[in-house]
Amino acid sequence: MADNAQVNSSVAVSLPDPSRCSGCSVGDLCVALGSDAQTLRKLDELLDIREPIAAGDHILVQSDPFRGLLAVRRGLFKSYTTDREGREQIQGFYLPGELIGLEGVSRGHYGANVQALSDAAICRLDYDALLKISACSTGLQQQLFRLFSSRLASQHWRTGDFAAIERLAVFLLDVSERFEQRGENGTAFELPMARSDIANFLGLATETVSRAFGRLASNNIISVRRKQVRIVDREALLAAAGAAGEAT
Amino acid sequence: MQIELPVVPDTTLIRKYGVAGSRYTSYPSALNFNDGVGNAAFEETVQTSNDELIPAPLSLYVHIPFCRSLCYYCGCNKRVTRNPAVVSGYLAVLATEIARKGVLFDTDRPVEQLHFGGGTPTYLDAMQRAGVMNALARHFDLSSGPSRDFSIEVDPRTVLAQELSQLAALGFNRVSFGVQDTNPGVQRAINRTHSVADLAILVAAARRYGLKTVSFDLIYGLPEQTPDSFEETLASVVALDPDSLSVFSYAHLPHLFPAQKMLAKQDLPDADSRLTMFATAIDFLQAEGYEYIGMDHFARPGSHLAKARDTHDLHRCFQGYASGGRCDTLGLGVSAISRIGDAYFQNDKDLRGYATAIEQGKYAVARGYQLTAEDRRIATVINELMCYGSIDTDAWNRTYEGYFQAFFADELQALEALSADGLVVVDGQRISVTATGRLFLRNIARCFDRQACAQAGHYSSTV
Repeated sequence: MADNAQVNSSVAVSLPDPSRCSGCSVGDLCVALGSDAQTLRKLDELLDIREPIAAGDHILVQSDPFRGLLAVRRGLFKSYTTDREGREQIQGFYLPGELIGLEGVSRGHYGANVQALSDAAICRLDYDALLKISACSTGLQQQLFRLFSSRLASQHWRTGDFAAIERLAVFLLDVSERFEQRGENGTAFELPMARSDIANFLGLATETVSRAFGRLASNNIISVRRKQVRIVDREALLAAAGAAGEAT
Repeated sequence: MQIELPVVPDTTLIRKYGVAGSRYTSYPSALNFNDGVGNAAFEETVQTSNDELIPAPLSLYVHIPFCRSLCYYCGCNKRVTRNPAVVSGYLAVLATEIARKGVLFDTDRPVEQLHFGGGTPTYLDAMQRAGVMNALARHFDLSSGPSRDFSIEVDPRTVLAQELSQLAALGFNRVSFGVQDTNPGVQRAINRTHSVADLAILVAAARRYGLKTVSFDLIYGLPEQTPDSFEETLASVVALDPDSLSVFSYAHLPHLFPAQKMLAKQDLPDADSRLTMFATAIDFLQAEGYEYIGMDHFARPGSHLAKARDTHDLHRCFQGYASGGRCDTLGLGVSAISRIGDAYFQNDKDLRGYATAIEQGKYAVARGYQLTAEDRRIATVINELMCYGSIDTDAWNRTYEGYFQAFFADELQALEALSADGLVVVDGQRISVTATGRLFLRNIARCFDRQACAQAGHYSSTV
């Protein structure tokens, strides 16, 4: 009952506190876990520390045993593995409000290296504590169950026999959807990663990625300025995704 | 695109607006460069520019600082020498710089613009020119397409007609002849004598060898010049049918440019004569079918500058107006200026300092400027005014997700006086420069310049 007592004392704190989930300025941070007030208060109990991370720092190494999840509070991360020749293969990007480490739940280790691509901040969510709290919150419990079972929708579109333009279109639609999930602008957004990172992730040559951006832009499907992308014609972008879009 | 002809205004306007001011070849002006922006920032900025989703193509500027003799009007970074060892030493350092900076740029960024300036680029002999071009071709992807603009400034006194065929073979497709004035008396006064007959032979050769664009540079405000003599100069060069002309106003700033101490202020034409000369140039060149691009530039319809303006690819640069507005510019050689992304970088202006830095394995960046978010908003407005004579404030709002009328509230108020004098029209979402106002572009742009502080001593007169 000691746990419950702590939860109750935390409920008594009513002022927004930026150091707590309920006062988090990112807004829908941890949206995947649900953002109702009760859950947020409970998340406050789980938070390890909010750490600032410098660009280039690793927050996870492939062989690390699973300890918990990490929530991106600010900045951009990539996860990658290395093949026998030491070549890096990017597995995904993490934007603010997204959770890192879900794969570790079943594997027992994280399975990928995770590196900050910009100055960033994360929150560490201890897994055992998360399970304990979820026992008191049906909403959180259901969310966790859904996350763990459905995580990693097929990424066949990245590796299958799809044209550069199709892969890029699927990537843009995916990022757009993720921005929208967090209540942000999914039509005009910044892609803060280097184009070489996008190329690596999509399994394309760097110059091919730029040509594909150029083709989408010259067909007035998107507009591109430096690292800013605006989706001008979403229907046409869906069409450009073609068969690759269906493989997600 | 129909452009209204500029109307030569009355002298009261000229006197009122003929104050010292920036020519806005950059915003902010190079006077704002500081030594807090150096080699580390240069390398980081190039990397960031490679990371863009569609990296900008490249424009290269190569500075050849040598001259055989001194022209007394000169305000360029140059060294008068006849010592071959000085020149070969410089070219070795330049080749090292080309290799070192070349590897920083991703290989899929084509060089669409290439400009050799000086000094006197044609000071170099054929072997030396080929050597520099080969170094560039080894370390950059030089475009060979017809839309490339590869130009070289040619001192008509330094080349023979057949040498122009080599320039064409090296990939150049535009030559800019430094004519300045064709009157023998003026030429003697500025220590730069050559004949129109020789120039005609060079122009004919340039066309024969496929250097498809020929430009002339002229200067007004020089000693011995009169409105009549300048009109004769205009007539003699227009007879050679150049594709574009620059008619620069001579800026007498001997405290900044020591060569100019050879010219006495009292020998220079007075303000009224200067104005008449420029008005003559505008009337004469327009009557001959040239379009007034802006400031000091005139071009045939369909020539590279007119096309750049019509396709919204025109921009201000340290050579004046140029196409290739979407390029990142890399300056190579002593004192050369780069503009990459939102930053300027200038190489060391001192020949020895530049060479030492390159030999020590550095990038030789001595100073520069990182544009702030505010600078970018202003630079866009000034570039649009200088190049196209109008601003679409809605487009500005979309680009910067801001509100033009609020951001520039003070500036719009300052613009009202110019509007009352008939230089600009502010109409809803558009600010347009009038036909008369096109002669006062610098004054109009200056209304938006938040850094136009006490720099008057460094500037030439706006008219």
